[in-house]
Amino acid sequence: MLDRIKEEMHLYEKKVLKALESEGGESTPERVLKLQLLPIKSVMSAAGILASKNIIKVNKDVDELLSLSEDGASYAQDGLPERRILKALGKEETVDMKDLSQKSGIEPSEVKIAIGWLLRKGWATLDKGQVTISKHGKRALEEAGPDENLLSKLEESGELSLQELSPRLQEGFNLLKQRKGLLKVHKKPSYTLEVTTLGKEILEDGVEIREEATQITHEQLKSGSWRNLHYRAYDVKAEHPESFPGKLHPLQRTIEEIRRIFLNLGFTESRGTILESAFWNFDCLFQPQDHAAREMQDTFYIKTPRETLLPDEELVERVKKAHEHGGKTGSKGWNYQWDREVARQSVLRTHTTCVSARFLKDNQPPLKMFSVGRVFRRETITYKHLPEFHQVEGIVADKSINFRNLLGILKEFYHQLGFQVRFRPAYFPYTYLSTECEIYLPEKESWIELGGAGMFRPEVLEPLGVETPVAAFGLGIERLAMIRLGIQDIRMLYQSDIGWLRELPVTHSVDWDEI
Amino acid sequence: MPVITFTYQNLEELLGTALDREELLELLPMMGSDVEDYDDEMVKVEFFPNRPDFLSVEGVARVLRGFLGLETGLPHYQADKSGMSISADPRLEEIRPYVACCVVEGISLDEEKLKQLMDFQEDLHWVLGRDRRKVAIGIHNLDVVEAPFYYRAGEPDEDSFVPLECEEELTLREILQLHKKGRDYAHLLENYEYYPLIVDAHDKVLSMPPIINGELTKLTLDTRNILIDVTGTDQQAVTQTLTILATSFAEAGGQIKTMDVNYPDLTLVLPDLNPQEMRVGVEDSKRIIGLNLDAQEVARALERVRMGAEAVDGDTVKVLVPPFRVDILHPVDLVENVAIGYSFPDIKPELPQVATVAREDPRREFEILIREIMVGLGLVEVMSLMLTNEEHHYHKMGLPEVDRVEVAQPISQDRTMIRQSLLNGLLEFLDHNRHEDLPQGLFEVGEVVYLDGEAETRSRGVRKLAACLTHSHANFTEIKSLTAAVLSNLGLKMEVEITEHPSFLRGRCSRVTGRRNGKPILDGIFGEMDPAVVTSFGLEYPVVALEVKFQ
Repeated sequence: MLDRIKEEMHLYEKKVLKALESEGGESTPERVLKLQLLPIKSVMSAAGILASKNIIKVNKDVDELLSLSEDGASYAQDGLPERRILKALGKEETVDMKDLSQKSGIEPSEVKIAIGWLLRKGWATLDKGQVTISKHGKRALEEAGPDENLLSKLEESGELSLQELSPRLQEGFNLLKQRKGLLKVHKKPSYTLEVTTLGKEILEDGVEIREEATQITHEQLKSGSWRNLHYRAYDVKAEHPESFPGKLHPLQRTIEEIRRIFLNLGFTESRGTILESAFWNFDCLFQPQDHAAREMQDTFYIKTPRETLLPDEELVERVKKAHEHGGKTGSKGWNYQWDREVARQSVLRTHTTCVSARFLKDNQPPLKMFSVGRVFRRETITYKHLPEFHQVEGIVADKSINFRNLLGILKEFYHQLGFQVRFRPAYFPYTYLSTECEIYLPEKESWIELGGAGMFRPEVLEPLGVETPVAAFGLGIERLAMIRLGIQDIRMLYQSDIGWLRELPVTHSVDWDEI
Repeated sequence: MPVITFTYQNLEELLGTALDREELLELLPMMGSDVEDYDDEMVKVEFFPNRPDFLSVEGVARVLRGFLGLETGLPHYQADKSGMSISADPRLEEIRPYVACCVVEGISLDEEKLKQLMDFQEDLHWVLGRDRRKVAIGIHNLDVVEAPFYYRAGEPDEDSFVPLECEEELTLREILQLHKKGRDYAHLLENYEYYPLIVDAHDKVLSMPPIINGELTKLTLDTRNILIDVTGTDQQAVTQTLTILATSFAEAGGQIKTMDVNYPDLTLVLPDLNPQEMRVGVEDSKRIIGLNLDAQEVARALERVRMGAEAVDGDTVKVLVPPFRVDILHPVDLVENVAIGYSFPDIKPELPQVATVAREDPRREFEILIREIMVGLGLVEVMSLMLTNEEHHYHKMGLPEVDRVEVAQPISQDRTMIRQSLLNGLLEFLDHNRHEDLPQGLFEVGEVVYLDGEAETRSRGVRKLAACLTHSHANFTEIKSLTAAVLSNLGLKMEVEITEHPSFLRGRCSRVTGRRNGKPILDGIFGEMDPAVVTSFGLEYPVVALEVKFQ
């Protein structure tokens, strides 16, 4: 045990301990410093470490130190005002009060106070405005008072310990402290170091001071001197500085995980544009032009560029007919007059479903497609909502595709992320067999809704020229990431604390049973 | 989305049987709803806007009876003639052309039911009525007025009546100016010469659609017989709304009586209670849902959701869609109802057999490589919002404002435009993290949007990489070294050229191009940020930065 403690002692610690031994077990840092020729910082830090190991005790005492203020210093130099008057009186015996300032050289404002002290010290008498030197005053011409002694002592040595003042200087202090702002007192700790029982045991066991090496150096290795060096043992439990690795953003990590799942399931990746026409965002998805979701309070409409172009006229015409009376889709339609100007409005896309619609226009089944991207909703920023977030969107188109397949893909997706999923009927204007997927949160014992899915309606597919069923889904990513990361405030993802990012483990996707 | 609240007791009275609450809470979501909240007394349920027939507890009970097997198939409503009529004034044709009315007799109201009725009306106003523009509803005490009724053009300054929650007569114009509801909905009658009125045989005013009803016909706890009026701009929506209201009262025990609605050239007998006949193919249902159902099973599932259904033969089921089901636009909607009637939890998920080959987005793959290099260089990735404002994006960066994507109705003054650079986001991030240890090194890979008159969407998304470093000795050499590392690890040849940029310190800013076989791949700028920019973000240590766009 003692060997171990000794091994881990730094050279300075040993030096401090030895110095204390030579001082009889107790001393001050100042003495240690003189004995071992160490810098004071090193003594104090070594003492601190020794104390933390219970080898010595550090006793702290507080000393009050006296010094002169700026006013005090000028008094020390020029003499107290009453002294300066006394000198004037020494020459003329009696002086009229009015002439005191001029004859003594003190400020007129100081005269009153100076006379007060003159009388109090018994150096003069005052009668009808005439100030006359007393016998005591004449004697005082030869001899400085205790307050003046203190002033000159302080001027000479800068600082004096209040506790160590001689009785005369103590008397001077009592006088001077009655005057405002001449003296400054500040508290200064002083230390004594004392060897503990453990310290004594170590000393009895013998502490050998020899030169020790700390860092292994290039020179030591090159010259071979390392063979003769003693490398000090370290305390492995000591504090260490922190290292911060470069890192991917946790939301980006979740997105990559999601991409990998869909790529593994054979989905091709696509992407679209943030700014979309109402045509692709709404009309093409059979959302009637007076649908609540299209209103200003939910959707970001754009001031510039206010309008977009419409795609080819044939598609536009087919979409118009689907809306109005169903066109060739077999639907009743929405029974209103479709307005192409409304469809030309620019919006920030409210879902990535427009990416799927564009993809279906340009590609033939069989196909599987997914895309990850930002979508926008007019939400104010709170812990629950942001005006922009990410969605993963996907479609599967083939003549054999059915609703059970859609559920199968979603179940597999959430299963791979480690969640249990259930489905309930829902409604979206562009799908039938619409469903919302909910995942189970064991810690909350509740189901949370994370996304929507369904089969694209004939009113969507016919205008795009698609003849097979299309299963489609759109799932939110932020909430999933928040569950994974265990955070309650969505803002943390976008207005992050770098400390949080630096410390956050990267293993949220790891299944520890498989490691 | 609309939310309705009802008590178990209320529901049990309508069902005529006791309920297992657990079972109810399981069933409700599978009918197409979201149970928002519940306790020992009541349930709060959110329904989807395509099902206005679910917006009253009576409508919920109607379908629940099917799910519980208490009563399946098409609900039948008996409706005799009331002998009453309402005539529409041609002068309203350009203002609010359509009206629909009927009578319900023998209803009973209590405080709770009155409140529910108000909520039902408000939800319908929202879901079908587009906040009363398309459809507005009035429900009146029939016994204080006398048929025939007249839907006529009212004179704004001459016609007057006592509106609800008011004690004195006001002219129509005064109602729009003084009454709370008048002010709320005045915009719907803006610029019209006449305002719509519904009056009885003695010109007593029942209502001023779509603004307010008269105090005269206000419902009380003693009201037994009612007249429902629906007016609007869409004939189909108006008659559908009347049907939904009338059948809901009938579910609670009322007797529907029809009324004649006279237009100059035609007369309608309303409410329309006729089911619509449609057909659904058994094979289609099987194929699309993926269940092996026969015609009988398809019919049974539809009956559970309260449709009339009968197997015509092995391949086809004839379906009678109740008139309140306004959501059925296409035979595929019947397929959906087969699945709901069959029960969603019993439909087993199954992976598709379609073999396809995945192809990653090559641009996304390129970005992943860039991220790998940035992380290797010890930088932390951040993500910021694409919505920003001119102050942060231009003014604080020392940049002049240029053409950009501007939002028409921003959520706040902080989010008025879409970014064109990632740099101000990184600086804001540094500002948020002034209390954290230095050095700090950040990067973001993200999209910005420029205007583009040639493009279909009049805009163009561009991907960018931005990085910044801050600590007490951050300098040009450091960011140049980092830039060179990024480019060389991407296999690009680096070209640098001194340049000037308002956000960077003059003489310490370089343009950089990364080329592959002469083709420019990355293009941008790096250097020391101008102290004016650094301090405008409240930062106190030097910042060096890099931003490049991907060609």
